Amino acid sequence: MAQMSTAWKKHRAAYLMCLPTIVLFLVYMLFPIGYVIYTSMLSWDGINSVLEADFIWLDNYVRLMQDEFWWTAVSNTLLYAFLKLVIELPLALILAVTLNSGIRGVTIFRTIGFMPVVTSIAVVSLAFTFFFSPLPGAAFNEVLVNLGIIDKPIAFLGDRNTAFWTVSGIAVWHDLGINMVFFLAALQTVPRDLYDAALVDGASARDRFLHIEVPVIRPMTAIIITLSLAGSLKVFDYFAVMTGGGPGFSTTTMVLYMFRYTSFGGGGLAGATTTPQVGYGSAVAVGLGLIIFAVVLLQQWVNRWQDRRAA
Amino acid sequence: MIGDRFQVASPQVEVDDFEVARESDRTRRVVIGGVWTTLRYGLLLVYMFICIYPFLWMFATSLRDQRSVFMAGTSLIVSNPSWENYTEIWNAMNVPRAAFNTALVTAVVMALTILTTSMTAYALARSDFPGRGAIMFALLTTLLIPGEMLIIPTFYVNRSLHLVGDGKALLAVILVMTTGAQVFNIFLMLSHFRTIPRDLYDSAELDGESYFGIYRNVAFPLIRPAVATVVLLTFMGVWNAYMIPLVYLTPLPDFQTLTIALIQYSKQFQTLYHIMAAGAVITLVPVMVVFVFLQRYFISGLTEGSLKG
Repeated sequence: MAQMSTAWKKHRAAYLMCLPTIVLFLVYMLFPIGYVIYTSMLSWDGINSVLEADFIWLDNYVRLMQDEFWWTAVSNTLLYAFLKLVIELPLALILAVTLNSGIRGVTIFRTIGFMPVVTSIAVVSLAFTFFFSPLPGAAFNEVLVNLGIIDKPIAFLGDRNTAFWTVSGIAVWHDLGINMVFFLAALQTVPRDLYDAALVDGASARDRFLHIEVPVIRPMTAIIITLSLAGSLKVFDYFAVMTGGGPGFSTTTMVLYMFRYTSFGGGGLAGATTTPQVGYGSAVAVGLGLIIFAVVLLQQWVNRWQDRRAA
Repeated sequence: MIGDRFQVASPQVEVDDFEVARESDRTRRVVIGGVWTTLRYGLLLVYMFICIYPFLWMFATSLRDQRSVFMAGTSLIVSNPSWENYTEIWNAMNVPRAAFNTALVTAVVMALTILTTSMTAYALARSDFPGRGAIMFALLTTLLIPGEMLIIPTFYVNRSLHLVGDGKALLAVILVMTTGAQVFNIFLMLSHFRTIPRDLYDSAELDGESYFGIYRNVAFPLIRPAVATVVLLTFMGVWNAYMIPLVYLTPLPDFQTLTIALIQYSKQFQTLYHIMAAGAVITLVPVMVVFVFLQRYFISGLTEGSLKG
């Protein structure tokens, strides 16, 4: 006790300055983590008092594991994250290497290439709803019909076979610029004299890329992959606005699946329940948190393993 | 793909006459170099077009009338442009009010985030007080907790605090978003505070400055670049936010942000795309304008914030 009071006296200012963060953390982070674990074991609609809700132990989790639509949502989310990794990141790298190869007008290319990143996903998604619609006058179908690729307009966002891919493509369009800029920043850390040495040795552009640029940008690439993964697994806005998770559950992601069991945003998602099932929704929240945690941890582990192998 | 193209740039020479080989090699290099340069610029121009075309198309759509919007196709030319859609959406979305709400939430989150995260980062960087380790541990572990996981419990916390269902929901949005911004920005600011030499604190202390006084007059001014980064990131993140405002503001027409008001309008009038396009332009233009003027800081801020923070 005496120790505590000396610590308090000595560091009072430091404690007071941390206080707002600590309060926010306790109220909106630490308490909610405990609370969501508690409510995930309740049969609770979120309307009546939480104290009167039945405690049902792990029944919600059993139900979650047995719901095939949850696994559809999980696989959709993982596929989305995978697509973003294998399509978006290589494209971003190609663009960054190109931008870094002594091009004139880097600033203007970079500014316009970054433009989609700063725009609201929800609003852009709304605009694309018409762009990709089968209605007369919608741009995308018109191009494809004129080129003779398709005979008649396709409901790209309304068709089970195309909706997921279309939304993923739009997400790549929106987020590509940020990874391009990340890679560009990484490439700009390559020391000048390495390029000079390569020039003296008569190294080809390809050698330069493989033996100078790749090793230098490797550590940052690992961070870029982590950021991309962590962001993709939480995806909500694109799918919520453009498809609402439908048709069926073909574009439902983990976060969308969770929203179906709440009344947030007035419901309206594919297969949303009329009465909220907040207890079950909480179990979904814990489940998706664990999956994101596991995937990011796995990626870190693979990363460390590769580092050790490279060393 | 990159490998293939780079390979072309270093042709293999297998000719007897060395002089001729060198001559032809040089010509080939020039030609291939030209093709290569064209390819590089071509790739970037195509990408630029893909980035910018949807915005131009959206703007063109916003100037069309109900009839011509369904004959537009890929064209960006509007035969008789009118601003009628803007008047229509201005009233339907109540743009002045929605813009005010958006600006209010953005400004308050920005101010609170800068104040709270810089104070905490300063204390963590400067003092080794009992409990510091616990705070660092809590910050590091919650870095891995996705905010989406806490959407449900934080909603009920706010309901218990009577911050749901009326104008106070704006406060709920502000508090939830400020909390979400803590960890990331604390680490960002921490990395900047750590570069300040201890001697500076000591000499300021000798001058009779208090602990808080040194933060306000010495340390905070020195991390201005980090503050600028936080300002831009928060502006972008909060102005564009969708999920958290959706949860709290959807049932409250008077307190919606621009994004929520527009999405609500789109749910009500599903096919009035030309009017929605006008709303989209109104919502996007402020961020785009700020971005174009401050693009250097946006890009360096995002890069630094994510990769070094």
